Amino acid sequence: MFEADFGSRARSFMMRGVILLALFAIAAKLGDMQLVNEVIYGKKSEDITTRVFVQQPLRGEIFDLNGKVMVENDPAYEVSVIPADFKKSQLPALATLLNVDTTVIEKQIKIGESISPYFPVRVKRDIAPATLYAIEEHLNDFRGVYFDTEPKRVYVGKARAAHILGFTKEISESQLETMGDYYKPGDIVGYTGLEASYETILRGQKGYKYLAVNAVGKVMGPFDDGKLDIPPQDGSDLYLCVDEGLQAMAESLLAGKRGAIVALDPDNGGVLAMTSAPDFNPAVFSGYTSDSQWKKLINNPDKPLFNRATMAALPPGSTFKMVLASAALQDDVVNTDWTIDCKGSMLYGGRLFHCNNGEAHGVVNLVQGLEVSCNIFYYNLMLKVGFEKWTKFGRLFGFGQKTGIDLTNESPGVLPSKSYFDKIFGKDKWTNGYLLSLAIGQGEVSATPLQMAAYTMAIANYGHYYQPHLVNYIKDVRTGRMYSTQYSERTIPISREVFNKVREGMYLVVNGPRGTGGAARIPGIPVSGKTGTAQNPRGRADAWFVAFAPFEHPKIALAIMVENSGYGGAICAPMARKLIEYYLNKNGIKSSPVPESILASRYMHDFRHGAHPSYE
Amino acid sequence: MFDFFKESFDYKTFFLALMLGGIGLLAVNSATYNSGMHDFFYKDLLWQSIGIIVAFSIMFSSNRFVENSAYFFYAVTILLLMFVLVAGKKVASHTSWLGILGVGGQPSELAKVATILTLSKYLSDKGTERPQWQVVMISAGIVGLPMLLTMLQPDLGTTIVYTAIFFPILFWAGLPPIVVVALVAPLAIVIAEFTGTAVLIITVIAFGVLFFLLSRKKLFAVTLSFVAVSFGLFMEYFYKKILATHQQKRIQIFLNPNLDPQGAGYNALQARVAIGSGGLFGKGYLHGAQTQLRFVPARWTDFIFTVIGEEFGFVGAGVTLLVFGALFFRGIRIAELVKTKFASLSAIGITSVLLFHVFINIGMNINLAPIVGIPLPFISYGGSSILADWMMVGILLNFYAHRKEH
Repeated sequence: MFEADFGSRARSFMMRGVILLALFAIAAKLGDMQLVNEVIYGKKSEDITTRVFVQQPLRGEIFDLNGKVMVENDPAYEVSVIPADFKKSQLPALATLLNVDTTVIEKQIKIGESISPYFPVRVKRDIAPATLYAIEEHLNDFRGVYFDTEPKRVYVGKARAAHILGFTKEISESQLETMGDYYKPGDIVGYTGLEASYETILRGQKGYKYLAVNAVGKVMGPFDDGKLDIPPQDGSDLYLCVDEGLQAMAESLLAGKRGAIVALDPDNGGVLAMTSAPDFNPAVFSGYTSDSQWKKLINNPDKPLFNRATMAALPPGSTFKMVLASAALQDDVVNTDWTIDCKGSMLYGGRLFHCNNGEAHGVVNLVQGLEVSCNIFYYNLMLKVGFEKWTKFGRLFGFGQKTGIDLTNESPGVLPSKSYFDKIFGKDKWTNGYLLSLAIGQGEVSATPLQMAAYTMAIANYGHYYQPHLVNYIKDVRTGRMYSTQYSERTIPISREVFNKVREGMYLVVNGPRGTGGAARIPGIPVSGKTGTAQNPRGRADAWFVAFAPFEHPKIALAIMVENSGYGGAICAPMARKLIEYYLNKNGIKSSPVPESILASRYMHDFRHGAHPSYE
Repeated sequence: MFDFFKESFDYKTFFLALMLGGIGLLAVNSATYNSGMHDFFYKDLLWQSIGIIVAFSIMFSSNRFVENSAYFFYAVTILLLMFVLVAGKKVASHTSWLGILGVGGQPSELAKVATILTLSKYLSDKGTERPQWQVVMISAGIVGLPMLLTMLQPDLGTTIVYTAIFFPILFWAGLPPIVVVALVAPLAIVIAEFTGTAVLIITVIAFGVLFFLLSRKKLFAVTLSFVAVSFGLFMEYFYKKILATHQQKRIQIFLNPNLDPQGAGYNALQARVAIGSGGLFGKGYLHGAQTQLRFVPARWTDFIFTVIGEEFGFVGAGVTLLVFGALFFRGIRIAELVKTKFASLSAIGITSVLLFHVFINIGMNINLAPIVGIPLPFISYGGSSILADWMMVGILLNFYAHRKEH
């Protein structure tokens, strides 16, 4: 087929044309390089070659809710070596000058050679300013040794926010393998906190500059007037939901303790404050981090690098009782007319269960049960509600799953279910007695302070649950445009009437005559909360307190946890009072009055007891 | 014998190829002179010699020998390519598996030659009275199979060489211009998309115009244009929405190595500096500072042209180009001289594959083409590729010797 046109003159002509065109294109380009532009390519000084130097972009800065800067960059100085140009004989002199061991430099050079012997590899970063000029002066005596600046993190402001911000550090070998081909040994990456979770947004894009270098490794100037250079692109800035003042106060409240505080904005789920104690100084990592400094932090038994706010899953104690209360009311298991006569203890399954401190609360209903934190009432309620409903409502409030906060490390906690107990204890190897512990937030159930704050926020919002998050806006520094970040939200299917009862109980915890959280009471601000004291097999009980305020249109919801410290009402409630008072006053938030229905509550007659608020 | 060399020996083709082999030996010698890898020169000499012997053996074969062994040769190389894929996984490098035979080799080099011959044989055989679209589809299958197996290795450079087999041979076979343009269009649109949206729009419009100029049936032209526009839109969507940023970046770096100064861009720049510094006459043999100081990576294989450019300058590079040009013209001439359709198509395939190698290899040395790692025929060091080059010369010599026979 196509016989007519096979090998025709026209086609042979076109074939020859293509050959000529291809060869002519090559010849033209060669002529341009070898004849027209030969000067650029170094005909005059035949031993000139090019070297590529990486230009580090500025890492994005981080700002608080009010636009106050929390992290910025300062220039630091670094010395690098091009392995191909560097002579081994210079090693001792360079080591003396930089005040490091020769093995350190040798190790760096070996790493550099593994990429390419022609690329500079950093041998020492963050040189002290004092030795700067001495080094600069002597560097001219070396071959293949260069001097450059690189940005370094600086932490400013009142709050440390170590676990929020995280820190940056030289990339590790395992990260090099997993983080993609953008990274080269010696690069700085975000290790923890926002620095890690927003790494690709904060870091920007590296730039490159070409320098002409002569035979003895001296830089002769930019190559080809820098036409091939690629400028670095600076990283984007983060604008957080965090209030720096509140954060600083939370940090000072936990000073010297082990614990965590998380405060959320109930209007959007933004984290107003999040602290974990003990913390660390992120500036330790900003420049050159010695091995001994690193080991000291890693080996500290109090684990300062561990973010308790998102990672410490602990039994939350009685702060968990609102889950059971909601389940009972929403599924019509009981109403507030159902009461229990608390005599301070009860026998179940051949075991004696005590109310807190063996105190007898008398006849209490669901709301009063929250106010006085009556264990006996909630034991009995749990037996009526049952395991499955309890698990179902725990799940609705976000327990047993990650909140999805914009940090890389988060614990989901444990929300036990029938199948979970079957798995860990074996089928039929556990009894309903196990459930009694769960009813008061002890035993197998565990939650992080962040989950507790988010759950409190959901109660404050009558069931509207926002995904907790730290970053509010991302600002592209090149265009100046602000991008808002997207987070999920959902509504927990629990009626407003149920929340009214639960919230009423929480109001009474702080403001009722027998409430266990009276230490959080603030004149003029209706605070609602719940205390928790969870037995800890290692030492004293863990103290918990969750709270929100004001009662109507809440502006802050928080969770406080202090390990091995005692009663939640005594340890944590006063902290909550300070934080809520500070935050609401600072923002000039006027509380609307608490509804008559609650003030005129029939439980107010208990005033006649003149009882002091008892700590659970 | 004397009569043979008087009547049937194509001196021109042989001596042009011999000159290129000689240039290759000089360049390999210089590239490895100071590197402690000087045995590469002797290995190159050995391979060139083996290549010449192979070429002469093919030349002295009977008239229809090449044509009759085409399908068998194709089947063997396809099996070898499959074997490489399976065995290569076990041994982790596809050169060591043939170590049993005492030779390291890449079957993909031989597969190129086999594919040229097989496509030519298919198109010259009877049975191609089928509808045109069926012939094109079967041809695409013949080329596509080894192409796919090479892509899986993965060897991107050799994979795209197959396009230089498919299009020119079909064109020479007499495929209507509109069909050739329509076949080239998708490839061009993909490349245009990666280059930029503006280039994409211009390319799609240009193809639309070509379709209307080349087709007498307006409805057909409208249909083709519509398909081209849809494909362009799809590629735009695919590139911008489906590919991740790092994948886009990889394609951009492939098309413009300057974007990756710590990777391919560095090699490309060092090659340009070396060639540019050669000037008109070069720095003299073994005196190329850039190549002798080992600034240029892979300077005895993919970047061997830097040695020629730096040490022999524009004149030396120009002479090399002229020799290549003369060989390509000779290939076209043989395609016109021979009496069988098979020989004519094969000669065109051989010529275009060699031209493609030369253009891409030198192109990547001088920033005209992406860095894909295919050798410069006869000149780059490498046993399989030199052997394949001389095989193709041997086939041309055989065609010339039997040019008057049917």
